[in-house]
Parts: sequence; C-alpha cells; structure tokens
Amino acid sequence: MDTDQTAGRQHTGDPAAEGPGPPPATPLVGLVLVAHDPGDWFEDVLAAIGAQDHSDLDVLVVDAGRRKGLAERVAAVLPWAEVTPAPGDLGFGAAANVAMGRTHGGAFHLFLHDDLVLDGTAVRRMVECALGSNAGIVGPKVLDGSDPRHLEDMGSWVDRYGAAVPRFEPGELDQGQYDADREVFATSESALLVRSDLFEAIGGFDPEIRFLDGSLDLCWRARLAGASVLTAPTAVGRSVGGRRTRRRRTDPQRLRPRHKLRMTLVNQDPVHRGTAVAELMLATLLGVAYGLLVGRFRHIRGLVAAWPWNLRRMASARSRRATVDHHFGGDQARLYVRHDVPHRSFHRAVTGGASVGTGSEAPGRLRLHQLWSALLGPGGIALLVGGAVLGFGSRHLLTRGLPAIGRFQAIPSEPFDLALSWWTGWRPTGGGIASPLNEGFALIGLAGQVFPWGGAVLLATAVLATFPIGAVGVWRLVRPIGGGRSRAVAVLTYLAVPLPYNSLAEGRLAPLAAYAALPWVAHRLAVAQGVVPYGRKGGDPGPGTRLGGLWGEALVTGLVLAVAIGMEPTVVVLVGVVATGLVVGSILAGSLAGIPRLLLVATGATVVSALLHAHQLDRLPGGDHVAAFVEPGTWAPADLGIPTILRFDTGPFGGGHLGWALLVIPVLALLTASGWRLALVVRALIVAAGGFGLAWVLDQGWWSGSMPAAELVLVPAALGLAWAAAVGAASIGAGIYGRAFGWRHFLPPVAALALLVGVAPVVAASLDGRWGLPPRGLDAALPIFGDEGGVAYDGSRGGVGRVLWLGEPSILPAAGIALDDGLAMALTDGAPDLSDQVPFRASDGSGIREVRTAMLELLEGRTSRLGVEVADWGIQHLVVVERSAAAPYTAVEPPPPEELMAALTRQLDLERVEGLNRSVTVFRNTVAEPVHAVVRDRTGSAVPVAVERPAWDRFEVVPPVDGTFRAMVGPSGWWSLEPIEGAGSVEVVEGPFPSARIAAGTRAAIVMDAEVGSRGVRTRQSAIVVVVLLATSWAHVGRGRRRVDA
Amino acid sequence: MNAVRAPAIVALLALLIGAVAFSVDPEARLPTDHVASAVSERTASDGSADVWFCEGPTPGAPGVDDRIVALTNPTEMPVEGHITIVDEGDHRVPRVFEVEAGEHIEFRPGPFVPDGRFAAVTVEVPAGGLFVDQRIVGEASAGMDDEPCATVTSATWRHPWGTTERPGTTAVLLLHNPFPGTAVADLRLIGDLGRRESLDSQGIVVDGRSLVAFDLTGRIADSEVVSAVVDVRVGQLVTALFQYGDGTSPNAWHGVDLSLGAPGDAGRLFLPGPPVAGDGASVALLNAGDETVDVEVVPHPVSGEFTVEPFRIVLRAGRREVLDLFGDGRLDGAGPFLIEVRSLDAPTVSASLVTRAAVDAEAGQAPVGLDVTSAVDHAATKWWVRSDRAESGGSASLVVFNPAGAGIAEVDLGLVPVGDADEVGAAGELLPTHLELDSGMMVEFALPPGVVEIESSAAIVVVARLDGPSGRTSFVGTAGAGTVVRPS
Repeated sequence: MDTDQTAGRQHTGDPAAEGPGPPPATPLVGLVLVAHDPGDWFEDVLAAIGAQDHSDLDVLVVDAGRRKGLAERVAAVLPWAEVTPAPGDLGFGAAANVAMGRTHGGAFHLFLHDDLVLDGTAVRRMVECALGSNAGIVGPKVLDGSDPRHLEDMGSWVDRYGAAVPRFEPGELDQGQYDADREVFATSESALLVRSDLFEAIGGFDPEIRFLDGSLDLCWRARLAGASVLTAPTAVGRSVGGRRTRRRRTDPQRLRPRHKLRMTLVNQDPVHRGTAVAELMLATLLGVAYGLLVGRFRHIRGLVAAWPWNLRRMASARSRRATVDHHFGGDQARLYVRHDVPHRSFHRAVTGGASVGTGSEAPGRLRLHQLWSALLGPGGIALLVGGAVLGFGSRHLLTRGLPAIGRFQAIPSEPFDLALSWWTGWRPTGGGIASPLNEGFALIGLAGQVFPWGGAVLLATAVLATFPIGAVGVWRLVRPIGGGRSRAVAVLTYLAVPLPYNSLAEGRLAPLAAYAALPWVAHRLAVAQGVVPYGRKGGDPGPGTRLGGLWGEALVTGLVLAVAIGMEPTVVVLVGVVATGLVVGSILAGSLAGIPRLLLVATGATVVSALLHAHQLDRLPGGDHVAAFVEPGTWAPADLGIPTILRFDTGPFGGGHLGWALLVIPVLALLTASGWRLALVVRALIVAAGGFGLAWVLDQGWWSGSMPAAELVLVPAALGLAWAAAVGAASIGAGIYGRAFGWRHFLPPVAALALLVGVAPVVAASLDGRWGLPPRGLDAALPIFGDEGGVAYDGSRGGVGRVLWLGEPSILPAAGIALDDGLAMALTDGAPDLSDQVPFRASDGSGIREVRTAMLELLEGRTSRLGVEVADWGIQHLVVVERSAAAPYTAVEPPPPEELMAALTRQLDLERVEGLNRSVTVFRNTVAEPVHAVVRDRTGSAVPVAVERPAWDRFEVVPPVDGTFRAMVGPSGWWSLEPIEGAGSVEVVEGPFPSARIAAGTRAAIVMDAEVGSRGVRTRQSAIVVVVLLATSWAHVGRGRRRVDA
Repeated sequence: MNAVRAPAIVALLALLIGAVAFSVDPEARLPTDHVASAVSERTASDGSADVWFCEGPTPGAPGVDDRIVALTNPTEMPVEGHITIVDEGDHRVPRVFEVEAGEHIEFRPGPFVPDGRFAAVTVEVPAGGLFVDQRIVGEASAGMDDEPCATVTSATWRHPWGTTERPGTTAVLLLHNPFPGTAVADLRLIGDLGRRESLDSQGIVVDGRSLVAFDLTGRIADSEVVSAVVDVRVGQLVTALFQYGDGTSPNAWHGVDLSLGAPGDAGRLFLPGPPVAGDGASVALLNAGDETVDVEVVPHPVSGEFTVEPFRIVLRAGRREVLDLFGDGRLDGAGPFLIEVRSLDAPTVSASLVTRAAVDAEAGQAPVGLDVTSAVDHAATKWWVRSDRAESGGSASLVVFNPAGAGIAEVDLGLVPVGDADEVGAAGELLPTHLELDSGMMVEFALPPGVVEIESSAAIVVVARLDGPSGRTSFVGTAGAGTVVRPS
C-alpha cells in the first residue's frame, strides 16, 4: 500500500504548548476518542492526550453516551478539541467510524477508548513505530491502571474461529518479556493507530460489532489487505475505570460468539469459511451440551443467539466481505494460525473458556507446572517416594496379579458380567440372589472390557490403586494446612499405617476401599465446616481451598460420599465417625464455628447420596440391614486389646512396637500447636479417637451383629493420625529458632525419628515385591475347580456345579453369610470370582436360604445326609477352608470349628476328596443333582441338561429326555421358562423356579423377569446421577467458587 | 483463631483410661469345659438326626449263637428310619423301619447277610428319638455282651486289650466305613513281644459303606494280650474288637465280648464300677503316642474312710501295660471303688477294664464271663440306659459317678415306659428318683429292665453292669446331652 507520509497537516494541538514545536515532518494524527458516559477518570484521559509530545494531534471526541455534559468536561481540559455526538445509540465501531472522511489530511487515525490514559510519549512512539516499520496498525502496551506492574493488553492472536488469544495470562507482570516480539494479529482494543488510507480502504470498523472485537475485526481486515499490525512496546497506556465490560453492562458470553461467527463469515476466505462455519455449528451443539452440564446458561444463550443474529445481518456481512474479497486467495493460514491448535480452538469455541492458553501459558500447562512445583516440594517428594516404595513393593503383584485369597478373586471371564450384574441386580452367588454389586465392581467390569493386560493385572491395579488414591486424598486434605512438610508427614504417616497392608494380606476389599475413599470425604466435610484453614471462619483460608456455597458444598460432598459408598457402603459409618469427630473436636477445642454449616452440609450430602443409592434403600425393608452390607467376621472379645488397636497391629503385617511411633507426632502436635492449628489437631485426634473407640467397642464384644474387619473400623483412626501429624509437622518447631535453647528444640528431631521408625516396616516389607502376600492363593489348592470343562464342572451337563464354601468368613473365597461364631458359608457357581465378593443376606435368595437352613441343621446334628438336603441346589462339593492360601504359602490360618468337621465327616452322603492341599478339606456330594435337569417320570432321577448362556439374563436348554425340566436358579420368581418359537411344545409349570413339562430335544429359554430386576431402579439411579451431576456442576461453576492459591 | 488444649487432653486421657478400666479380660473368655461327643450319644433335641453304627458278629462267627439289634423308641411319636446292613463280603442290604411310640423292635442282622460272619448295621434316624443297642449271645450259653451302638466315627481308635492265646481264643478287629468315600487305615498291633506290624496291617483299604474283619488271631498268634491302634489315613471309621474264648486257653478266657474301643487318646479317663475283690479285674493301659508317659491309676473307694495308694506305671511310647487291680492286695477291703487313669505327661493314653468271673478251681471249668469296657474321658448331663431283665440268678446294676473336682450333682432318674407298661411300672418302683452326688462320688443300685433316663445338674458318668450265669457285661450308657471332656 502506498502511503504518503508527507501529506499530513501540521497541527498544534495545544495552544498553550505552542512554541518550539515538533519538526515539520511529523505526521498529523487524527485522534478519535469515543466516550461512552465515562467516569471520573475521563479528565485524566483527556489530560494525558493533552500532554502528548506528539504535537500534531487533531482530537475529535465522539460522545456515544447518554449523559449530558461531556462537551463541557472536554472543553475544561482540551478546549481545542472538537466534540461531536454520535448519531443514535452506536457502539464503539460505528462511533469511531465518524472519523472516516474527516481525516483533514491526517496520515493516521488514533482510535481511543475513554478509559485509557496514555503516557506522554505514547502517540509519538506509535507513530514512530508505524513509520519505522511501515505498519498499517499499531497499538500500545496497556497496563493495569490499578497496578501498573501488571500487563493488561499487548495485542492478541486469533484462532481459526476468530477468538482472540491474548499473549499472556491475566495478572502477568510486565517484565518486558513480550516487547521483543512486536507483531501481533490484533492490537489492544483500547487504542489503535491506523493509517488513514488503510482505514478507508478496508471500510473502517464493522458497525455491527458494537463492542468488543471491533479492533480484532479491523486488524484482521488490515492483515488481509497486506498491512502489518504491531504493538509498540514503548508506547504505554494505563486502563482506568475498572473492567470495561462491567461498566458498559455488556456480556462477553453473549457478544463474542456472534462476533466470532460474523468475523468468520466476513473475513475468512471462501475455502475455510464453510469448514469453519460447520465446525462452529458443531461447537455450538457441543457448547450447548457443555453449558447444560456445567450450568452456564448464558454461554448457551450466547452460542445459540449468535446464529439468528448473524442470519439477520447476512446482507451487511456480504457487503463487508466485498471490500476484502479481492484480497482472498493468499496464504490465509499465516494470518491467524500462529497459535492455532485446532483442538484447543475448538475447545475454546465449545466452552467459551478464557481465550488464553494455546502456548506455554495455557492454563492446563500452568496447572501442570504448578503440579510439578508441588511435586518437587516436600509433600510432592513424599508422594513420589511413597509412590516409588509402593510401586517397588507391589511390583510382583502388578505384573503377576494378586493371589486368590479372601476377596481377591478373579475377574469373571466376561468382565462385563460385573456391570450386567450391577444393572440387573442379580448375581449367581448363593444359587442366584437379588443383591446387586457395588458400583465399584461395575466399573471394574467396564474397565475389563478395554483393559489390555488381562483381568489379573486389572484386579491388582484396582486394588493397589487404593493406596495412591488414599495418599492423594490425604495430600489434598492437608494441603490447606500449608507447607510441603506437613503434606509429606501426612502422606507418609497414612502410608505407614499397617492397616492397608494387613487388609492386603487378609484379602479384604472393604478396608482398602474405605482407606482410599475416606480422606476425600473428610476433606469435603472439613471444607463444609469452613473453619480455617478450610474456610474463612477464624482466619484466612489455607492454600488450595475452594470456597463454595452451602448448596454447592452439600452437592459436592454428597457426590463424593456417593462415590465412596459405591466403592464400599460401610464407609457411611466411618463418615459418621469423621463428622462426629469434627463436631466433638470443635467443641473440645472451644469453638462452635462451622458446626451448623457442617451439619447442614452433612445432612444435605446424606440426602444426595441416599438419592443416588436409592436402590440400597430399597433393601432396607428386607431387614438384617447390617448383614446386607457387612460380611460376617470373626472377632472374639478382647481379641485385640488396646495396645494392638493403637498400633494398628491387627494382622500379619505390623511393626510390633514400632507401631507406637506413628502416635508420636500427633501427640506432640496436641502438646505444642496453638491457634487454629491446635483446633485442627484436636479435631483430627478426636476423629482418630472415634476410629480407635469403634474398634475398642467391637473388641469388647458389645456388638452382636455382623462383625466388620478391624482394619475397616480403624480407617478413621489412621486418617485422624495422618491429619494430626500434618498439623504437627507444621507446628512442631515453629518459631523455635527465635527462642532460647530449650526442650522445644528437641521436638523436630524426635518427630523426624518417629516418622522414620514408623515408615521403616513398610520400606522393609516392600523388598519382597508383594507385601508379604503369597505367590499363590487358595486356587492352587483346588485344581479341580480351575479349568473350564473339568469333570466336576462341565457346563454341558446341567450347568456349572455349585460349591459350598465353609470356614472362617475372611478366608472364604467368596462373601458369605454367618452360620455360627467364626463360621460362615458361601455358595458359588464353580470357582468363585469377583462377583461373589459382595456381602448379602440369606433372605436375598431362595437357594442360599435353604442351604443355610440345611447347614444349621447339620451343625445342630439334625441331619446325617446333608448331601441330600442341598442336592437340589446343585451343590457338588463342600469345601472347608482352613487357610487363606494353599500350603505351604504364607496364609491366615484360622482352624474351622471342630463341630463342623465332625458333623461333615458324619454325613453319609458326603465323600471326602483326598490328596488335596491341607488348606482345604473337600467333600464331594455323592447325591448332587445338576442345576438344570430333567426329572424323569418313572425313575425320578435328575438327568443333566445341556445349557447355553447367550446372555446374562438368559439360559437356553435342550433336555435329552422327556420329563419335568427344572432349573434351580434363584431367587424365586426371578426366572421363568419360555418356549422358543418353533422348538416344540413346552408346558410351563407354575412355581417359584423355572419348571416345565418338556419333551426331549425341545429347546427352551430361561429368562430373567424384566419386572423384578433392578433395571428400573438403575435407570432411575442413572437419571438421578445425571441430575445431581448437573446440579453439582451448576453449583460448582455458577456460584463463583473461589480458589486460594498457594 | 483461639483454641484450648486442656479439654481435649482431658477427654482423650479419660477415653484411654476408661477403655483400659472397662476392657474385657482376655482370660475370661477361655472355656473351662470342652464340648465333645460320646462314643454313643443320642441327641437330646427332638427332631435331631441320629446315625447309629452297630458292628458285630453274626451267628456264623465262632462262638456266637445270636446277635440282636434293638431299636427303642422312648418318645411319644413314631420313628421312621433306614437300616443298611453290610457284611465283610460287601453284601449290602437296605431296609426301612418304623418304631411305634413307646415301643422297641429287635432284628437279627445275620439272616440279611447269610454268607457273612460279621455284619455292620447303620441305622439312620432322620428325626432322631431312637436309641439303638445290641446283644451278642454266645453259643451254648457261653457268655453274652450288651452294648449301645456307636454314634461317632473317628480317624483314630484304640483297643487296649484283646487276646489271641492259643488255643481257644478268637480276636477279630472290625473296621466299618459307613461313608461313601474309601477309607485307608493303618494298624499298629502290640503283642507280648512288642509292636507287631505286617504289610497287610498297613494301608488297609476299607471301601465306602463296607466292613472289613481283620483277624488278629492268625496274625498275632498266641499273645496273651494284644492291643490294637487304628489310625485312619483317609476317611473315618467305626471299629470294634470281637473277642471270644472257649475257656481252653491258658488264662481260661471264656465268653464273648464286643468292645467299641476308644475314639482317641486322653489324659484323664474314668472307669466306674469295677467289680469288688473276688472277681478278676485288670486295667489295660495303652500309650499310642510317641513319647513315654507316666501314668497313675487311682482307685477311688466310695467309702471316704479308705485310702488307696495310686498305681504308678511308666508307659513307653507305643507300649501297653496290664495292671491287675487285686494283684497286690491294696484294694482288699476297699469296697466299691472307681478308677481314674491320669497321664502325668502327654494325653496319649487309653485304657480298658477287663473283668472276668473268679476262677473256681474246684469246678474244673473256666467260668463264663468276659467283659472288656473302654474307659471314657467324657461325662454328660443326660444319659440313657436300656437293659433287659436280669437273668435268673444274676444281677443288673447301675453305677452313677460324679467325676467333677467340686460341686454336687443333682441327679434325677426315671424309667421311661417302653413295651409292657405294667412291667415297667413295677420295675420303676425299684429305682431311686433323686440322688445327690458329691464330687468324686459314685453310687450303685439295681437297674430295672427298660429304659432309664438319668438327668443331672452336672456332668456325670453312667455305667450299667449285668452279671449272671450266662456271662457278664458292662457298658457305658448312651449320652443324651451336655457331653464334655475335662469335667470341672
């Protein structure tokens, strides 16, 4: 473009400044100041204009506001400036366009907002920059008026959809870091110096873009025309008057989508325009979904409204496009793709997120940087070291899988069965029971569909993941306390507690799930209470604290609680212990602050989680509530004792007396902390006392119901100790270096030594790579139940034979129901798997109920033919489990009751299977019948039927002989027999189990009744989940939660 | 934020102190008595299933004239059940039966298995209520043996006393496996020359639901005393030792006897009701363990005025000793007494009381009467004893013993009407209805025919003894409830 730099008119802007004027070659700059009812700062803006050392300024003030008196204000400061009213209610662009045709020979227009105070040299430097670089448009560096150390605007880049991408993060300090790179896509919105002829050539500002993005559009068109756009870093201005969008009461969420679309329609070349519009359309759809998800309804409105707005202005868009049409066809991509990463552009278009972050300054990367910074602090290093020790200690488990001990049983060959079981509410356990799996199992089933390394590794990963999940939960819980040291001590303390390792050794899932989940719930409860450092009550919140509203907290806490319940329902009790501990601890610490809020949020969270687990509530009318969620356990009175409880020495893994070391730091914290730290350590210790107390109460034998594992009830104690230890790490030794030498100086080394001693057993135990677990589990003792197609478990002969497991509950390879003190029974279809590991009640299934009755008769000596009693239910083997793993591997070895063995050996129809590992005693039922059989009319013998299972809720059978077919699959009323069309006649017999008169060779199907399953419940549950998630997301986003950064 | 420390410290200390103060004493949960099963035990609760195992000879066995199995129903409801009879030839005969309320039926196993010399009878009573015993009658009135059938199976059986003296004795060990699975047993036989083993005494396979008759007479020939230790490697068995003597042996054993043996070892055993001086009585002691044990045989005269020094015996591992109770005269004039056998070391002892009628030198013929009773290590709070009317010239007595170290046992006795009501009513008048037995005390009184029900406030031991011209027999009653070892 040809520019006549000598055509400008010399102009003395300020008569008072006349005298030794600038050189005659100085180009005339026509300054257009668009004023929109400016505030008190306006005089500063005018004064700054008057103070410019560029003398040839022709100042035109366009009054685009509604208030009167602007002319007088201008005249008071710049009496020589011209003031003209804008016709109608125009936006900035249309108002600025009054400069068109009024150049008065000026070489440049300088368009200025009414809230920018220019430095005295700003205009001159912009002009010099424009002349020196032959730039078409030049903008200044705009600093934050309230704190001029921070950058506010240095121009921007643009993505493929016309969204401006600032060059820096909000709040970034001006350190000249962006001064070297002057080229930008668009200059700052506040001021832009445009060559007059260029301005005329590209049609000026788009009058339809009334506010925001006007400069972006102008710069885009200028670049299309071949002009360069620069930021003059030495030309500095300060924005004043606060946020412009707020002052003008405009909503960027409403304006920006429409502007993006208009700029795309107008400024994109024909090749990219169609693609971009289509992508924007898709982005709109996804954006609407996203907006609904997170509750950003204005975002939705903006996205949707952009389309009719632009459709109504298609004619003007075409007109504007005509002015740059002839410039299309060049290398358009270079115009805007500098920082254009398609997926991020699309993400911005969808989410309407702040248009930052396509480069190293991206929020995601910044968060990553923050994460790295945190990880390289003491807390992070503790996590990393903990992770390294855990990984090292788990290496054989992760590569070879967990041994089949206790609840660690194989994932089914069809992992999706776990999800289907959750969905239908039916499990084959116990001869078929109406007892759903927990959501956690369903997730494992879903993961099993895509997990590439097999079920064994998946199970090991899922189980061992509880360690880092719990540790990270504690890390987050104690983060507001401040200081990496406190996080380190808390994480190490939580990981050093023997509790999870004992749970591993005993094959318990429930304590591990609670170990992982409870810190997260406790964190929510602490935040709900809102007491410093988790809130503003009593002081300033600690780092990382997010302050939310009451409803938002209730929803988030409810969701977290629901997730925890989905992993392990009994965590509800532990959450109660934590909540009670917080309340009692607060009272003991001398403050009631936050207690009402905590109770409100806890109540709300309870309601939310109850809604999300309404199916569990459905089970309450069935009675025996504890047994529905807690598998029977063995806990003789005074079995542990107080010292053992306090040392968490409840299983094979334990440091003996070294376990006392874990109590040292919390106790020191109680003795030395002060202020809010003392209040917090009291709360944490009362939480710990709650866990210890619960264990002690159970140890006294005061509870007669299903007995949970000691490790489970001690999880709050472990959490409380880690919590208190974090406070201890933050308070022990605080300020001692300013004091005279005394006893306090010994505390830090004592605490460090205690921590080392406490951690030492875990480090030592990690050496074997499997945390002391045996290489093989109980499955090694039972090869006859292993491979499919084995003699005993040929599915083609009446289905899989069932196995009745008897013994101490924790070592049974399936969740069982209680028979006697220390004795439980479990019933599985063949070898047990993960679907058999969730507690249930005898009332959940007909089969298990009848078999239990038979077993009780056995124990009471009321039968001598147990085999006959349980034969109907297809029980082919009875296995008395005497060790948790096959001999000679390390195992828990509770002997079975002598009465049981005596009673079983007296049964006249049970044949003991010899030559097996001593970990089990197996009896073969000599009179067992197949699960699916035809009872012959004459002989009454049960003939096995070939069974296929094409779906989770469907069996298909083909009887080999005439007779009465019957399938012993419970619970009663859940399954019915249906003839397959064209397969022959089937005369269905009414009864609790599928039964029919059937001819040989007739194919029939046994299907689960759709009415009785939990499909409806699951559908409702899923809907409630969606609603609660939406509400939580809306509350989370919409309430303006604030985060306190470290 | 201000916070206070003292209340929390006080509260936590109070919780800790309270927990320590109110903790359950771990020692308090140790039970004092061990629940156990008697060799013959009829479950007390109505509706409980019972299985009885009766082994013994048929008339085809040497010296046996008859064998009668009696099923007695003392309840007020008819009882149904199954019987399975199997002989050593693996012939198996199942039958069903029903016994009316207050009645008893008898049957002879021999005709069901005509080719068998021995037969095992399994009586299944799904609803319980029955009790089962059997009588073996020697040929030509050469002795008899009454014995309740067993209700336990075990992987270990001990038979401290048997004899294979030549000529004129027969000893057969019966191994019955009532279960469907095969059992494998090892026998250790201890004769006069010490432990005797042969290839065929190891790994004896007893098929499921079968009977093996292991003849000791040929294998341990001419041994004054033979002890048998049965260790079952696989499965469980019921064993019995059949003994017959025709009076021609050097020790003139004359009579038939079937001893159930003891289903294991013990450290403290009771032998109530031995005969008083005049008859032959000895105690056979067997140590089946691997270590030598010191054993005390302690006679407890009923009369508290008479003190008897215990017999002290050292029993080497795997050896047995036979103690003649009246050999050294220390029991002369002691009157009725009972015997307690204590192991001062490992509880690996079993014992039998062997009694016989006194040899009448003038008669020139060995008197009929051989009885072997296994010592028991258990007591019970309820017992049942059934006996027939004592033969003419004979006697029937019931011995009740309180083995506890302290406390009085309140004992109630009653005669359950079975069969002829008039006869029962008359016999019942002879029976005391209530007794108070101090610890360590024993009482003996006439046993009326019929079913006697004995119920006690503390665990006691009950033994019946029948004596007459055609022989003698004694047996421990059938336990009914509260069976314990180490009664305290």
